[in-house]
Amino acid sequence: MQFKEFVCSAVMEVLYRAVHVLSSSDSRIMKEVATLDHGAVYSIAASPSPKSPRLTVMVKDGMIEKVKTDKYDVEIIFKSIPAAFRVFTGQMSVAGAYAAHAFYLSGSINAAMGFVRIVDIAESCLFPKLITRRILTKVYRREEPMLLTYIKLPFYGKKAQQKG
Amino acid sequence: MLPKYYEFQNKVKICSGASALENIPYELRLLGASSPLPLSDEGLEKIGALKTVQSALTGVTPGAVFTAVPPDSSIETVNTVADVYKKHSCDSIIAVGGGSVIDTAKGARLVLASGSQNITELMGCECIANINDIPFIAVPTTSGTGSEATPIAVISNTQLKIKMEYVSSFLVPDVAVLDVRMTQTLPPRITASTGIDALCHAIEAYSCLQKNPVSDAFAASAIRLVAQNLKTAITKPADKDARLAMANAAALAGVSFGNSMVGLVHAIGHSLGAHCHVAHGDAMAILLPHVMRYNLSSCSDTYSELLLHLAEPNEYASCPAEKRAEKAVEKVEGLISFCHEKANLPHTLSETNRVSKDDFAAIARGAVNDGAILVNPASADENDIISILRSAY
Repeated sequence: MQFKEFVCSAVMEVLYRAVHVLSSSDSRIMKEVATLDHGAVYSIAASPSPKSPRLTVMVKDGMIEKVKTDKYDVEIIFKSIPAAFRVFTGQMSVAGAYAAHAFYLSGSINAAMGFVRIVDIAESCLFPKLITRRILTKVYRREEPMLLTYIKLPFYGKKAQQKG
Repeated sequence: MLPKYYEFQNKVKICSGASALENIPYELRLLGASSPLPLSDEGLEKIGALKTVQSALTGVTPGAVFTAVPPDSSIETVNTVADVYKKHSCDSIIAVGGGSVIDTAKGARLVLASGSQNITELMGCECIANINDIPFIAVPTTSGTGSEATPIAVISNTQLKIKMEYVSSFLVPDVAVLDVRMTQTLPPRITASTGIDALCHAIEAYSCLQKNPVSDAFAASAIRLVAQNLKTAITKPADKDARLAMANAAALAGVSFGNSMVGLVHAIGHSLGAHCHVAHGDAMAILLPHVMRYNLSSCSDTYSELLLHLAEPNEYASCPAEKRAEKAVEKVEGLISFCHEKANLPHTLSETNRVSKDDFAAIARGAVNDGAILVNPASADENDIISILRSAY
């Protein structure tokens, strides 16, 4: 279980960096982020345990920024680590996880939908088509090569800093 | 094929048929309640539907009666109902009405059971835990929403101008009372509109990504009941068998979609309601065939199975396997055309006189943000939805 928790934590970080990078380079993510409420806080936890890996982000100036807070507008909590592991390792889409009751959600379902699309687009950019074709009802076309996205990940903060 | 994982839950006890209303006192006793709060709207009070229920409550003294539920359930109404409940020391709720009344009752029950001062905090999906139960009996007066058997409530936040969605097993009523005295005076137009709503619930539940063998069984029964009885309920409103069958169809469809959810028809329909105030049943009737055609390539096997429930066995057997999905869509179109001819149900958006092509972008934006779209068998973006709206116009 500890291994799965570690993987969830690592993929959350990769996913966050990818969304961060793509929110200044992918037109679909830019558009989706622009429609989210400024200041809205979204949080995803890998399980209901307080010690579980958690990613909390805020919509700020057209970007998604990691924040530390326990007040969330939308909170998605996976019911178990194995369920989160399946989603974070590309074995299951967010829609598939919803259909399988793999998580519960506090807050507005409508407000969560844009965030879910952002994750879907990021997964299309991060995972090979072999995986995304299987898990997503729609595979988004990559606007830049997958490798380039991965190369940008270690420098994920630069763009935002330049913007600021 | 079994889903890799599924859940099914429904605790509602269905009391259906002759004298079902007269069994309410017994059901209250089983639930340990003796002082209910009957909840309804002024229209139902005026036509005597509420009185029919009250007359059936032999030996039961309601703590109070509330009849000011508006057409759209709101936070204010939910809070007022909760206050009335507390003020009169009621111990249970009997909702007599359509979707709005039953959803108001669900909201009030949630506020009372959770002790929450702000129902907005409880908004979400499967996130409500550890609350006390309040005995709750639903008596539907239409055969469409299925709210009497679902874990879903939609409540308007008039300040923020949003419809708040709640999904929780705590919202499922304890008892659903299906009695034809509640629906036999429904005019053909409403019978058609609500009947197609029930059909749409069942078809979407049967074909969406969250479907499972148990929800399929409920959906299939609902589809058969609608296919066999809706025309009679429209043309012979006094036919009690058809009325009872339609009431059952709505409740069974509710059990089904309460577990497997709905899909794109509802996502667009909710947005059409919010932006253009198109009546929910009308939106379902207009959109269902168009969305079925949109989904056809993604779930043709499932739609092929639908034909078995929509048509006579001989018709199904004589239709070549590769044409059954298309035939199922045609069957639905035929039923909706019947509703159009006999009950004046609109079958294009322009006929509603409420929708302009300029509204399409906003409707599509609303639809992609509706949770129902998540489990639709085919993915749909805003452009896809605008294409569907154009074809339905």
